[in-house]
Amino acid sequence: MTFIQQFLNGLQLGSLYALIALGYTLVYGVLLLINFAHGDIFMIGAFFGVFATFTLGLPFLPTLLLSMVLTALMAAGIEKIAYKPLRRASRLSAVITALGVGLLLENGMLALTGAKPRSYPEDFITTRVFDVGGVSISNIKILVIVLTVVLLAVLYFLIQYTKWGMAMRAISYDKFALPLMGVSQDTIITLTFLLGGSLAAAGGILWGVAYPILNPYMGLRVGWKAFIAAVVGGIGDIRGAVAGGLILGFVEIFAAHYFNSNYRDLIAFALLLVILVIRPTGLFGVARRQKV
Amino acid sequence: MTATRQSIFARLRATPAVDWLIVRMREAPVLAYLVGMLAAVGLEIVAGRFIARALGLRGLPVLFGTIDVLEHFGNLDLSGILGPLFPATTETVVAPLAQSGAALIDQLLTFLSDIPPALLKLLQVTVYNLIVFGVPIVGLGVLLTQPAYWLMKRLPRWVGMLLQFAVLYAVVRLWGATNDYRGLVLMYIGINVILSVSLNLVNGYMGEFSVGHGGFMAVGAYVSAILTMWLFINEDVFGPALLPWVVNLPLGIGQGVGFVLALFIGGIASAVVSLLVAIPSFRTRGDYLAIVTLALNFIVLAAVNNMDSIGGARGLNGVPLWSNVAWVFVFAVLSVLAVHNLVTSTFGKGIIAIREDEIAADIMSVDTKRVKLVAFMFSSFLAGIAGGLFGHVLAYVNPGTFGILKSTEVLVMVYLGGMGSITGSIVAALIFTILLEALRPLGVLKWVFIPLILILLMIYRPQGLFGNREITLNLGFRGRKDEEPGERPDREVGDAALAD
Repeated sequence: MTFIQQFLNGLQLGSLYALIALGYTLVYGVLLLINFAHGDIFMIGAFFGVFATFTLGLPFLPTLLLSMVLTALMAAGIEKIAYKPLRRASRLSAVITALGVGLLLENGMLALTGAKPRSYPEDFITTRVFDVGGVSISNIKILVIVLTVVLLAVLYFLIQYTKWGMAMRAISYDKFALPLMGVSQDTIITLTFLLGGSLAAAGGILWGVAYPILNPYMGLRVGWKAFIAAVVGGIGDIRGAVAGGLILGFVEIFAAHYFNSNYRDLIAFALLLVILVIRPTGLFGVARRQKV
Repeated sequence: MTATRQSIFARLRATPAVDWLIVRMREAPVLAYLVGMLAAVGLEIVAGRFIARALGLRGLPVLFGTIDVLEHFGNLDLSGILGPLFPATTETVVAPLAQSGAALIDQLLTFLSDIPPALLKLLQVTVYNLIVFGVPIVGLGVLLTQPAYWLMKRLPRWVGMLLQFAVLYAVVRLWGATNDYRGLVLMYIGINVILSVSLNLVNGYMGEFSVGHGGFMAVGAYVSAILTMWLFINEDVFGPALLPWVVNLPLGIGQGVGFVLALFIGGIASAVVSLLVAIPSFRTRGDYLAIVTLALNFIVLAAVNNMDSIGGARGLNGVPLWSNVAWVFVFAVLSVLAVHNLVTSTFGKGIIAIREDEIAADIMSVDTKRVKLVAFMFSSFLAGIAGGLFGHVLAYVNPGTFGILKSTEVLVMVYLGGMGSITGSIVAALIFTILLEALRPLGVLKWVFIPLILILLMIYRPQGLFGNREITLNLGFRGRKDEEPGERPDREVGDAALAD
């Protein structure tokens, strides 16, 4: 029974990691940029939730939608201001800029809102716990898992069955051929950041519901973890981000359960190192053979 | 705007007097400037307080007046601006928008009222810096040009180099001796020089993307701190010293030997840990290697956090205060020379070849595995030494110090200075450390400005301050018989800047 219980916990944590990891992987697939600011976009999403529910008094679903819209716009705006001028510069300068943007977001948020920890109101989602054959399942876990599945389905549809999705897949395949086909590269990049930002915002709000302490540095740790999940899955591959997020979630939860909760980071990262040593391009990544 | 500024500079440059000065300043060798710095520091010790008082300053400007100017903005507190819009659960905010607006206007007024005194202070410290540092350094630099050449021509080359380092050390030591805080900042500068130069070896010269330098620093810091505590001193964590007689050797030799030994073992431990990065680097590079270094940083910290015998997350207390300006100076100079010699050697050409094209390097008979292994291990070794020095500065090491933020700081220094430029790294370490200290009065806002500077720098100058060029220094060896034509001796200017 405890196994099923822990399995559900892992599924919840893994879903959240997957939602954030998708943002890394989408951007990487299109721009080959590691968007280190993405963890802080996730934090911004959670904070927009605080804004919507407290200051505007909105219930859960409108809060979620509003936060997704605002965060998506912010992510796309950051791309326009900070990353676009660097598109022709060396790839690493864009990565360093992303690191800077991340630091700016979290410390700017801290400076502008103060250090008080925040959480969503009690009646945001009223917790109910169901007992199913000895396994206690809270409605929050169900919500997190179901909503993640729904968002993944929407994302899959967008990428697989729309013209924009096709363009996104095409740009990660060959970014020089795409403009020749009459598709604007800028539009696709903006779209990617919008998608990544909205998924991160959903992740941020669900995170705030599931683990109810929000502070400006919350994106740091979760962001790095989700990035690692994206790399383990094979960065640039959407299935990989989901798989990597779930693996990381399960490993952390089971490591905490069977060993010691202090060892969860150690075991999770060590396992990741092992995976990367065995398959350097991640689970779903394809090594691009360098032509001589 | 830019056009007028340029034309002002151009006009200034065209003035005969300024032109004369610039030509003379270019002509002057490093030794002359170093003597000028020595005189400046001497002047500050003798008359600094008096000059500062006369200019209306409260005391000696500690870091060239940067702190004194920024102190005026220390009363800013922006947390009211967005705070009401993002309330904590426990508070009820009435009319959040009005509160936000009021806070915004209030802080704006505070800021505006801070500007005049800050500008006045800026004027005062600028005059102070010109009198105490500008005039002696430039003046003596120009005046002593001929004597310095005369001396450098007659001395054997190594004596000349040694003389320059000795004068530089005197400058650093005297400048740091006037104030404990300056001494601390100098140690941070030296440690950051080691860190940025060593990371530049991997990220700049070899073209890899290592983001976990803090982890290697942590290994060095912990191993050397444990060694000095366990072997040489009596304290609470490891009990009485194992080899107490070493420290009791006369003239402080024992302490020195013990410290250096501990640092080296810390460095070696760090190099061994770096094998975990070096070996995956044989198969992959770029983003995947970045994640390996990142994971390693996390693993090191998680491991330390779980070892209660060495303090765990609380950190290790009671590390002896053995780092001082002298040790840091020696290790910084040695690291810079070592990395410089490494990248200019034949072996170093292999490192650069890997950056340019790994497959081509392999074909041209570069043993890429061996080169990568050596570069990673050497870089981590230096990071370990820097960590060891760092651990003995504050008498306290804790895992939180060596997190991703520390690694990011090192990355910022490398990219600020320019990838593949040792002098760039040194200057960047100097500027960045002073910036970190100078922005301290601003509290939280410090970490808003630093990333902002980084972003602007990357957008407008993505190659860093110096790109991959080095600052060439005029060491005054010119015209010697043993100087081959065309060879330009380039010792790093940052060493000189260290004292500046």
